[in-house]
Amino acid sequence: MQTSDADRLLELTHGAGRRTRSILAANSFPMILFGVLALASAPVAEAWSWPAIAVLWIVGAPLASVATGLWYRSRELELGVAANARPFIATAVCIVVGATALGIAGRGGVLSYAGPLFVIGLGYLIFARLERSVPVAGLAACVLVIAIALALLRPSHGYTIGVVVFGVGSVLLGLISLVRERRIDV
Amino acid sequence: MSEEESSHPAIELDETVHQRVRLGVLAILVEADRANFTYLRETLGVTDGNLSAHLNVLVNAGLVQLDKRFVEGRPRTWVRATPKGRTTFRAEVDALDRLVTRYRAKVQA
Repeated sequence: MQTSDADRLLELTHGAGRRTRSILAANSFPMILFGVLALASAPVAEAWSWPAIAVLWIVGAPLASVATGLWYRSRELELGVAANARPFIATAVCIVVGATALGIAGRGGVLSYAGPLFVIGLGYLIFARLERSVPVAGLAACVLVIAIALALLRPSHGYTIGVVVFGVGSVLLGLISLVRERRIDV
Repeated sequence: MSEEESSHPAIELDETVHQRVRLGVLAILVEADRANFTYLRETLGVTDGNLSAHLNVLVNAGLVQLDKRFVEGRPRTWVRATPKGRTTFRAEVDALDRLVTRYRAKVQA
């Protein structure tokens, strides 16, 4: 075979793989949804005590997770291509269970906000690996650093600082992903 | 046959996979868990008949499997790569990569 044919075949092959990878890396919905949920919990934390935040997350996180699952399912049916959902579901369940358990165990102390934030950071690192996404890895690293800093420094309004950093970062990445998805899906 | 000729990467190319559409199908399915017939057809720019023929070759070689389901009352064919399909695809891309690298090295020499 001609080497130029091999070159062309490789380029076509990589192109088909790249397009599929880009479509599967869509995460605007969960990033914006969980970011907004985190930001919405900040005024709750400032106005009420920790049980109100615990209730918000215990109800909100599973609902948001189910909505995320339905969003990915609708994309799968619309676009005709899907990733293996099992590792994503397992990671999401670990984040929700781990963060909720630490949030409750902390009883309003530093563990109740630094602990869940650390679990979220670890979970997002796994998501970043699964999606091969550098921006998500960046957000995960940022959340981990903030979680450790909050645990060490124990500032006042620690919960609010943590969720605002996570929420703003998540919404921004979600909006960037949304623009990219519109461009690819067209 | 010299040692160089016997280890030429072209010898390692797989006759079944070494075709634009079939290689494209596997490239998509290695990235995704599954893709439906319409996605494959549109991404690869082929006709229904052409894609069906190539999928049959891949199915008969045990490289992909088909899953026919009804979604919202319409028949949908989903395609998945088998473990053998994933391995064969990676070996093919490796062989192509080595072929191109070898050619470029010779041109530069």
